[in-house]
Amino acid sequence: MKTWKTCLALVLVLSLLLAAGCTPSKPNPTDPSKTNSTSAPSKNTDPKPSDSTNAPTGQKQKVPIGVAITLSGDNAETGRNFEAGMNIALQEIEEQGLLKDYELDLKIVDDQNDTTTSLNVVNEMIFNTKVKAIIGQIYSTNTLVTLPICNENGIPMLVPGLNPTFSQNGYDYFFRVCGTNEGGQTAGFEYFIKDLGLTKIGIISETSENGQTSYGIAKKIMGSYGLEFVCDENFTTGDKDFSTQVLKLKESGAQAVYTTAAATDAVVLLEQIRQVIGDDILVLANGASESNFLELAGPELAEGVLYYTVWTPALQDQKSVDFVQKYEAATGRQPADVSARGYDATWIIATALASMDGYDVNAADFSAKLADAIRNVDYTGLQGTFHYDDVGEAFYTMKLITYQDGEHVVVRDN
Amino acid sequence: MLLTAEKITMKFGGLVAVDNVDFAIDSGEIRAIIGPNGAGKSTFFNAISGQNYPTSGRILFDGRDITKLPSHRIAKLGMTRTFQNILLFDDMTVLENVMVGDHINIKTNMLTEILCLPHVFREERRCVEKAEEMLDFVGLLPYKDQRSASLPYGKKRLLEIARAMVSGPKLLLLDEPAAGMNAAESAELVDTIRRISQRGVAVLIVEHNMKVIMNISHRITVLEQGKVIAEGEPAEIQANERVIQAYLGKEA
Amino acid sequence: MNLFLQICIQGLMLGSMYAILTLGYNIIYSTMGMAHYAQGDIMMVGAFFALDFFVTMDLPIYVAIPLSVICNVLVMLVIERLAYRPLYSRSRTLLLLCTIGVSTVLRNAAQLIWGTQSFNFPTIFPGDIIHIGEVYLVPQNLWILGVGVVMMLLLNLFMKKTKVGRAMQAVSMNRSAAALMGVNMQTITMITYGMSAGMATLAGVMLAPIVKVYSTMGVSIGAKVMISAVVGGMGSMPGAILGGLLVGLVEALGGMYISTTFKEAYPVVLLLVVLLNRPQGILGRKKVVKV
Repeated sequence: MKTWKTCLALVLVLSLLLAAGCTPSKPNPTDPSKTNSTSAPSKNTDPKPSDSTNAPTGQKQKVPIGVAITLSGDNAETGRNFEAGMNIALQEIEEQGLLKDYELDLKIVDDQNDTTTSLNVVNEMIFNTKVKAIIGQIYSTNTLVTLPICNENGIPMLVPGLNPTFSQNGYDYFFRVCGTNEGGQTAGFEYFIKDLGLTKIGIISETSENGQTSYGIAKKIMGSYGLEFVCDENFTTGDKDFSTQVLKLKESGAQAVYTTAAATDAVVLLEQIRQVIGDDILVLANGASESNFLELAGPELAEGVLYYTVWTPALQDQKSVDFVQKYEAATGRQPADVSARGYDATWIIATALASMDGYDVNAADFSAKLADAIRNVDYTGLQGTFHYDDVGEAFYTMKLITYQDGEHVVVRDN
Repeated sequence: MLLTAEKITMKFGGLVAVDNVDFAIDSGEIRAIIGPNGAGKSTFFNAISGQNYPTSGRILFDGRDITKLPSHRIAKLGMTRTFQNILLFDDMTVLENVMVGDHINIKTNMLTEILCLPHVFREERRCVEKAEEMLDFVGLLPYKDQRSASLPYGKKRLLEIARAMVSGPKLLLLDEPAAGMNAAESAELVDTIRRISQRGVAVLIVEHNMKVIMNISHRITVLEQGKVIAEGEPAEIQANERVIQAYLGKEA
Repeated sequence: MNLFLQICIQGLMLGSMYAILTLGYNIIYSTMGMAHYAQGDIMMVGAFFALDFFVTMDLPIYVAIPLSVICNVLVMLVIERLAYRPLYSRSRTLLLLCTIGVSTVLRNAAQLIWGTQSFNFPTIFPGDIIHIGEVYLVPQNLWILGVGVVMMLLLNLFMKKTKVGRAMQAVSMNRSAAALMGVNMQTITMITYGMSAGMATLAGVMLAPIVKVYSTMGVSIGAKVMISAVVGGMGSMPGAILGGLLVGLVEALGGMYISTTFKEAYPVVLLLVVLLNRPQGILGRKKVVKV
C-alpha cells in the first residue's frame, strides 16, 4: 500500500514537471491579436517587376519575428498599448504593399515582466521558433538579461526600453526604438536648472537595478552642472510607505524632485508629496509616462507632473495626428508613448526587410544581413528620423511633457 | 442508579486493560476505585468520563447511553472530572478558572455578546456569583483574584474541584485528588468531599491514599489486572484476603 | 526636535496598521497554536471585497464594510474547513506550509478574479492635514490609530468579560481542560478565524486608500505582521500592539536617521535582536516544558 502511494506521488510529480516544461507563456487571452502576418495574395498581381532572384515571384517568405512584451501583471496595459501600436503599423504596411518578398510572422509572447520568464521566452524564440529578429523588451530589468543572449546568437534585438547601458557593451545586434533615460533626464534637469533656474533638486530612486542605473545617470547630469542633490533617498520595490522619504524631501527644501518610480508607486508617492509638502514642488516621474498613470492619479493629482518621452499624443505633426486618430478608432483610447515605439519598431523591421531584395530567409546569415539592413535604415516615424549609429542608438534627446487638465502638453521640445 | 457500567472491556492492541467490569454508583454515594498499579483504574475512569472509548460494553448515565459520547457532551449531561496532572488555566485568575467551569450553563453566544444584549450582562453577573459561591464552598474565596498558577499545590487541587463543581454536576470524578498532599491538605480534602456529597452530588474517586479512601468512601471497588476482585464497605475491604494479597504483591 | 517627533508619529501610524493585523494573527496563534502566514492575503481579499461593494457597486460605506467583513469571514471559514482542519492533528510545520500555500492561492485567485493591476480606493476619512505647531497629522492615519486602539480595547473586554472570550482564552491555555469544561472546539475555531478575518478586513479597508488595492498588497505587510508578532510576543494581545508599533517606529526612525535604502531591513534587525535576547517576545510567555 505504501509503495503504491509512493509510485503515485512520483508519477504526479513527474507529470507536473512535464506539464510545467511544456507550457508556453501565452499572451493575455482578452487580447485580440496573437500572431499577425501580412498576407495578401492579391498584392502579387502588382505589375512592378521584382528584382529578387531568390524567392519565386508570387510567393512571400515568412519571416518569424519574436515579440517579447509584458501582457500580464501590473503593467499589462503597457504591453497592450505597444501591441496596438504594432497593429496599426502592420495595417499600414499591408495597405501600402511595402513588403513584396516577405511576410511578417510575428510571434507575440508575454514576458510577464519577470526576468526568469523573459529568459525562457527569448530562449524559446531563438532556439525553437528560430526567429530572425526580436522586438522587446519594454522593461529594462528584463532586457538586461535577454539582450546578451540575442547578441551572442546573432539575433538583432529592437529594444523599446530606456536603459542607456544597452548600447555601452559593443553589441552589434542591439537597436533601440526609442530614446534613453539619459536623454530624458538631461531634458528634465536642463528644464529645472537652465530654464527655471532651480538649484535645490531631490531624487527618490528605487533600489532595483533599473532604478539605480537611472540614479547614476541623474547624479552624473547634476554633477555636470556642479550641483548635488539636496535630498537623496531610495525606496524598496513594493514598499508603499514613503513618509520618511517625503519628510526628508520636505526638510531639504527641495524645489523639484525626480523619481524613478513606476506608475503605481509614482501615484502613491505623489499623493504623499502633495499631502505633506504641497503643490509648489515640481515632480518629474518616470512612471508618469505610463498609460495607466493618468487613470490612477486622476487629472487633479496629475496636474503639473512631468515626464520625458520621445513621443506623446500631444504632438501636432500630421503623422502623429493620423496615428492618434487610427489608434482611437481601433481601441477606443488614446495611445501611449509605448504605442509609438511599437509602431516604429514594426515599421523599422518592415523597412529593413524591404531593402533585402528577397534574400533567402533560410540562409544561415539572414539575421546578420537583417541586422545590417536595420543599421542602414532610413525611416522617419512617429518618434523622429531613425538613423542608427555604431552602437545602435537613434535618438539622444527627449521631449519633456506635463499634464494639464488631464491632457499631455509639451513643455520642452529638444 | 445514577451511573451503570455494564461489562466494560478495554483492549489496546493485545493488552486487555479492563476486563468485563460491571460497576454502578448511586446519587449521593461516595465511591472509590482502588487497586495496585496497572490494575486498569485510570483506564476505566477515562472510559466513564469520555476520554477513551471502551472496546465493548455499555455505560449508562442518568438513563442515557454515554458509551460513545465525547467528553464535552458528557460534561453537558452532568458529569465532570478533575485530573491527576492539574489542568488549570494558569494565566487566568482563580475566579476566572471557576467561571470557565460553568461554560455550558451560560446562555450567551457570540452573536448576543457582540450585540451586547442586556441578558449577556445578567448571565455574566450570575456566573460571577455562582463562581464566588463555589470558591467560598471550597474555602478559596480570599484568593479569587490571584493568578491560579501562583496557588500552593493543595489549593490548586481544591480549585480544580471548585471548577468541576460550579456547573452543578450530578457526578463528580476525582482522579487521585490526594496525590502530593500533606496531612493537613488531605484532611481539608476529605472535609470538602464530604460536603460535596452532602449536596447530593455523587463522587467517584480513584486514589492511592488509603487513609483518605477509608475515611470517606461509602463503598469501595477493588480492581486487579482489569478485573473486579472485591467490592464493599471500607471495613470489609480492609479485611479482604484477596485485596491484601493484591497489594502486597506477587511474592506471597 | 520637531522632525524627530514627526517621524515618531509617522512610525506609530504605520505601526498601528501592523498592530491591527497582528492582533488577528495573534488571536489565531494563541487559540489554535498555528502561525497564519496568509493573514496579509486575507486582508487583501477583504480590501477587494470592499472595493467591489464600496466602489464598483457604490454602496454607502456603512453597508459596504459590514458586507465585506461578512464575505471575507465566509472565505476564511471555507479555507479553514477545507485546508486547515484536516491538518490539525498533524505537525505544526505542516500547518504552516499549508498557510503558505493558501497565501499563494489567495493571491493568484485575486489576480484571476479582479485582475493584476492596482485599483484606486477612495479615502473614507477625508479631511485636510491637521497642523499642530510644526507637526502635521494625516486624518486617515489618525483614524487608523484610533481604530486600532478601540479594537484592542474591545478585544480585551471580549476576552475577559464574556463566556466565549473566556472560552477562547481557556483554549489557548489548555486545550484538553477547556474541552472538558464543555467548550466546543469547532465553534471556538470558527469564531477565532472569523474574528481574525473580520479584523483583517477592517485593516484592509483602512490601508487601501493609502497604498491602493492590488493582489500583492498582503505580501510585504504579511512579513511585517509576522515580525511584529514574534517581537511583541506570539499569542499575546498587548504584545501584538506593542510589536506592531515597535516595528513601525523602527522602520520610520531607521529610514530617517540611518538610510532609506534599507528601510525594509530594520524590522528584521529588530527581530534578530529580540530573538537573541528574549526569544519569547517582549510580552510573550515563556514556554516551560515539564520533562
